[in-house]
Amino acid sequence: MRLRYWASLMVLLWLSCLPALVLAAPLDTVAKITGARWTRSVDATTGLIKVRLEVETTKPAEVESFITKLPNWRLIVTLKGTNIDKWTPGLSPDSVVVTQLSAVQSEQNARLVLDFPDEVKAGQYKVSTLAADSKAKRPNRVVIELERIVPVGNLKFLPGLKGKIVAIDPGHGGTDPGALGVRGSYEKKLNLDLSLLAKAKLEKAGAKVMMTRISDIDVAGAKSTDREELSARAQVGNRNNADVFISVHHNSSVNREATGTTTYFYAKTIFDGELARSLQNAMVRSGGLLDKGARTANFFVVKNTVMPAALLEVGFMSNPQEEQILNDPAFQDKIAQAIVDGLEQFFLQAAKMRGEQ
Amino acid sequence: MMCQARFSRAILMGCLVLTLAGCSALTGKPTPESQPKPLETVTVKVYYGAPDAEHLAAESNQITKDSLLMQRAMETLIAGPKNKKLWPVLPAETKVRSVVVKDKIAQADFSAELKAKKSGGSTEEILAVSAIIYTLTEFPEVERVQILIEGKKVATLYGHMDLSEPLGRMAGLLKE
Repeated sequence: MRLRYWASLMVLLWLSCLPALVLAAPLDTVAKITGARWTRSVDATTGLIKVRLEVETTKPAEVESFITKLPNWRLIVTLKGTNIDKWTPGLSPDSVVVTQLSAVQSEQNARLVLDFPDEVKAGQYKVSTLAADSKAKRPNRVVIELERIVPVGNLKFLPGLKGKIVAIDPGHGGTDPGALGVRGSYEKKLNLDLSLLAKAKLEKAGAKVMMTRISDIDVAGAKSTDREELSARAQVGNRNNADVFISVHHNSSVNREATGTTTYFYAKTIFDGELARSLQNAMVRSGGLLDKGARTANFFVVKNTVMPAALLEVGFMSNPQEEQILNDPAFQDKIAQAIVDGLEQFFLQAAKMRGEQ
Repeated sequence: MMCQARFSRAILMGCLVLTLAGCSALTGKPTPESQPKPLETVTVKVYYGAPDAEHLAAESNQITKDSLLMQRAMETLIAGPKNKKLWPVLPAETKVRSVVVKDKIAQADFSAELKAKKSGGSTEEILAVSAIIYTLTEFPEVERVQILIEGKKVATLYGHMDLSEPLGRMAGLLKE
């Protein structure tokens, strides 16, 4: 009698533990993020850019999302009971739509933070989930779809460099030295050296090159104001009806470990981002420095030129190793060639977008 | 023992009361009205360079709540961060001439020292400008910021950014 009582009590106790056992599942049965895929499309007639991010997980994740205005316009997507694990979010494929993606582990949940350059309204974003598809060999996914409209710009391009007018602006110069390298190099000189190399290669490929300066001078004169100086540079592109405008710069940071190549643009037409991405990809591919992406910025010369424009920041002169690389003639030659290749790629892409090819 | 402790506490309290009374007798009439009001402070977020010097990181500061609150926030930004891992982003010798808000736009006027360094990298320029913008837009009455130097509009700080129009917060500068 007594034994039976104890036995049933034990069974009851054991049964009541079961749900707890299930809840306290060991870490390897928790959903994990294994990777992510970006896709992007541009409609050249409407200027609608669509970006889709598929975040892959080992198990289906329950998802919550909301928009914030402060500290920035952001979409916060929470994947419940999901571990970020070793996954690190990469660069956004289009900084006009998503400036930055970051991921943080918040207790049992993975939180994805997507930064937008501007206000995002309902209808401009959608968050959904897709179950694993064994036929297509695709895992469980969280799908984030975003869109933004960019001015189309009344521009047409044909593929190829022959006959194209390229404005090149070696940044700074004259009374403005630009950044100073830790080993003593001057940004204004690096900018000019690289620009002249690119000029020679572009002319060889059949393009006409307009330079804002070909020596160590202030473009609008030593006594000019900042506005006169920067306007004079943009005008070289505008007055000569250049097809594209490229400003060549080298970066600097107080952090001596800062490293990498960045290309900046201002999304005044759908082509500005294409130009920046083409140049950025070509520079990273042949130069081999860290890819910091094509980013939007409110920079004077790319904003105040009427044609697609990009501002290159080839690398960091404040980083001792990188400064050495930037001064290496072989590296400079590779980047000059990358400018040619990037432009070739851009004109091909731009022609396709408008159905000119 | 208990009794004794309580007794000595009572004596102590008595002494304290007497001392305070003595004080007030000596200093005249310490009426609450004549005492200087303790300064009311508010917590203000001030943005500096994050350890990577590419993003911004905020520090909370207690700043006196008066009509010069925003000017003091800018002075706190110029003075640099308390946390040694963060980076100061503006030249330390810069003076704040004024900060005036009109139609949700803060006009932040600095002395010529803001451009003490004539030129710098674009990463440094983005950081300096956005630290000013992020700190001032922490105030609900400010949406955009126009940077002035010696009372005048400027085209740029280090030769990349276009500062001729008021700017709001740019994205991608906060890590999470």
